[in-house]
Amino acid sequence: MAAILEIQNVTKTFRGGVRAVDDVTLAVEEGEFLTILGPSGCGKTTTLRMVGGFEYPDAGRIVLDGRDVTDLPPYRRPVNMMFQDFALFPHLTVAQNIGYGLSIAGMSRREAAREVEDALRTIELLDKADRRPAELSIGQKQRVALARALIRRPKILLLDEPMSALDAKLRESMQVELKRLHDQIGLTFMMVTHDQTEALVMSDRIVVMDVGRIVQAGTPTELYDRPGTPYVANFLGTSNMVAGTVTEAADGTARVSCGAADISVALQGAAPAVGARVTLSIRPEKVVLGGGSDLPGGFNSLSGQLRDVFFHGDSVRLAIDIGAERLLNVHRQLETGLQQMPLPPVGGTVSLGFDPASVILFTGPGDASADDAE
Amino acid sequence: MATLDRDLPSGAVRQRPRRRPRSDRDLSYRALAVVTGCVLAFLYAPIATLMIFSFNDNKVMRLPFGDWTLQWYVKAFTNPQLLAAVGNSLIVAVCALAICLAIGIPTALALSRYDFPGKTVFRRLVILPITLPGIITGVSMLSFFSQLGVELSLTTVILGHGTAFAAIVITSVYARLERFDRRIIEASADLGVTPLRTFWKVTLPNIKTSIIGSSLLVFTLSFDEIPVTFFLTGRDNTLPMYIWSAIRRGITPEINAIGTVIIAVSIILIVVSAVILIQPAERRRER
Amino acid sequence: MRYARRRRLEFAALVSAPVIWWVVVLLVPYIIMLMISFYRTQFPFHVPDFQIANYLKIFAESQYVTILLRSLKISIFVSIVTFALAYPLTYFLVFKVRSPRVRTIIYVATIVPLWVSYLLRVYTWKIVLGTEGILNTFLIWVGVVNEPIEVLIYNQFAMVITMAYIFTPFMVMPIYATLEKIPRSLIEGSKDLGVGSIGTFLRITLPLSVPGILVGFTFTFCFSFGDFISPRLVGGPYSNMISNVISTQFGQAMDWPFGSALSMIMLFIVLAVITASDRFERAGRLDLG
Repeated sequence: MAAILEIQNVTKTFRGGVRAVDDVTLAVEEGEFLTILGPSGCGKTTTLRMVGGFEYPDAGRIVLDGRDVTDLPPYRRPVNMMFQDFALFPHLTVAQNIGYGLSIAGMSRREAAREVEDALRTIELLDKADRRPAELSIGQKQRVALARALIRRPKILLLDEPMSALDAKLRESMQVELKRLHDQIGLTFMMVTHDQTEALVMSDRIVVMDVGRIVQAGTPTELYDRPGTPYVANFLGTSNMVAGTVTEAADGTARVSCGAADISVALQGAAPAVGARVTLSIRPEKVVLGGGSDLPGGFNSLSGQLRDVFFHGDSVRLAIDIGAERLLNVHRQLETGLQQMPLPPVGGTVSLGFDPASVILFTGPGDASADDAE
Repeated sequence: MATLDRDLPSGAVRQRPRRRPRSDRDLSYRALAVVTGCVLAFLYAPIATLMIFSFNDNKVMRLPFGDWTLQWYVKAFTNPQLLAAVGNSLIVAVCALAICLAIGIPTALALSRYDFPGKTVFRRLVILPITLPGIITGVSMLSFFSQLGVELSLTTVILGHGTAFAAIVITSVYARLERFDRRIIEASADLGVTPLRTFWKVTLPNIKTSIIGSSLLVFTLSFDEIPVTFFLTGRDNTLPMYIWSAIRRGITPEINAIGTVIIAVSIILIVVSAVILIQPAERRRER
Repeated sequence: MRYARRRRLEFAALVSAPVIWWVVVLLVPYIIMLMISFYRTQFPFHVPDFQIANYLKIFAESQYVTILLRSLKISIFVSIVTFALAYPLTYFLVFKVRSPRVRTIIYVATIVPLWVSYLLRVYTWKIVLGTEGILNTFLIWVGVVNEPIEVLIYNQFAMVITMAYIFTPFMVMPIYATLEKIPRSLIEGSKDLGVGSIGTFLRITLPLSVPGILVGFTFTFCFSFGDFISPRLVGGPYSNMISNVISTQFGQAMDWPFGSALSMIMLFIVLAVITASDRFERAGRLDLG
């Protein structure tokens, strides 16, 4: 696999001194579905727009398929974008929208018409060819936008928050559809989103950005299971952040004293110094209820007081006080199986446990400082 | 209604849809309706009077009404001075409109698309001619032309109107540009279309209505302009200048006739443009 | 880097062309006018100089002070009359008329007169109000009066009526725009909290429509202040406004420096009014989401 797109040390500062993108380097591989994930204002959209040619970097290079395109205007770049809110031409029909980019490409009228017809058939909107965008539903608009961007056979399809206009139901089905489309045509997709579920579901690789910098990049499972910073741990899914002090560190394990509880952690990287203040990230769904022989060997075994139960339909969230002002959120799937332990009443004592390997240790106190990028 | 009532179970009270109590609400409705009617009458009665009296054969406009006649129209349309003035006004309006569009659209684009130093001052400057009284544009351009040694003629009038009314095109096109989704311009570039072609294929169709609307307004205003023309015209008279001097000499029913024609033409223009501008949108909605 | 240069060129062309044009045809004439206002008059010519006698003359000679004050007074009266006509009408349209179609039709009907020649609209009042005019002859005809009423025309009353007639649409438009934007929920909320119709109007609707009223007042004031057609046609001997004096200076009197000074004063007053109203409007504008 070769990199089809290389973003090299790109920096972009807007008027007023806001550094939107700060020395970003990123390689996108041919055929992959790459997502840039981050909150609004993290620089993800600016990065995408620089690839599209709508913004020009102050420093750095953008190399597309071996060619430096840093300075090329959008109409000279072999990439196409699906815009947020789609940006369909309101004065043109659906067919004219889709064929818009073809009429310029020096294609004969008949050829272009056939291409448009093919595209319309693919998106199942042949009967709407002569409608204007205003007459389409949001889902239909999105399909038109997609067809319009794909008909020029770009080297990369850029997607700027493609689902933001859709409601929750439609969003889910479009996620599946886009993912399937990507697998079918094998084109490189580069998407920008602030929605972590979307990123997890669709991407081959996720790049998390914050304040103009890349915080971490990796596959969805890597990022979810081994977040590099508390920021990533919090941004992807939810996490219990528990502050503590290292009491022992040897042989790939550390023991951390967190108030009343002692938690052992399977270390991934270098061992922290004894006495160092650290933050542990524990995913709510990695915690199981039960104690003693109910737990597999080597598990951390804690007990606490049940404070609250929140009903989520298919699951419940438990808030469990493990002492010294540390509250642990625990996810419990509601199953039909009989083996589930009955919950004590609120205020009662519960036992719980989790695998030391599922705990992530971050050095430093619990604020989400995101400087230790990959 | 009665048959329906009979079908009701005996216990059901016959209920009419209850109207809102006839309280102060109805009263205020009526009072406001009367005021509105009066204001509309105030706005239209003078115009109607002018039109009616253009068909009256009294030499002096007074009641009681005399006989119906078309003689004032005949007189107006055989008056060579007046016809020349109409011709001049048409020339001025068309040329001034051309200037307004040629300079107004680029100005609106510059204001909407680019940031440049002094932009706020510039924006204030270009709308001055429609915020300040016309006489100031007239007087300042008169001083300007006299400093340059330019002789006053229809050309100076055209330049004056072009300057005075371009702001109408600018504000209207600028407002439209600000309202439409800029991303469609980016989308066009993204699809391989150069900026110039994008302007023709995307920008222009989307600001079309504002251009037509403001053109209509500029044309009408220019056709009717006095304060600027008053100072900038040479030997040639435009229609309003002709009417102006005719009125100051004394009222003649001929002016009613030409006035009626002007009003009729303006109203036809408005209706036509309304049809052009509104119809496509509604037709589309009905489909 | 070819494209970077092209982008800069494009920027330069698209921005500088309009800027240069407007500086030449707009800014330069204003500056020339300002310069001439400091010149000296040697009838029938004016000679370059730098002195402020022209400005002093405006305030030293009582006739000019009178005219200036009269212009201000008339413009304020016109604004008040148009407001009194326009507000009930717009309120009725926005809050009382149920059918959007009827609303649009009436609204358009109040705006359409703008498209009818300004001059002709002034002129119609001359034929309506004139001594031998339609109103007088009508009153004589039906026997209300025996003699024509002289006070109908050629005075300030006639001017105010005529200008109010002409500028009413300019008051209707901004007020309509602000009234239309007031969320109905605020009015319902006020009534829900037990405030009656009149109280709601005074405490909710009226305050929220202040920005529109300000814009309307600014429009009508500035237009009336600069009008020189109505005073000439229906104003009579004691109704000269500042613009009439200006046009005389550039015409028969041939005193361009004095005329320029008067124009500068007019420009200053109009700009001051616009700036003040703009500031008030901005301060009073509430974010209605």
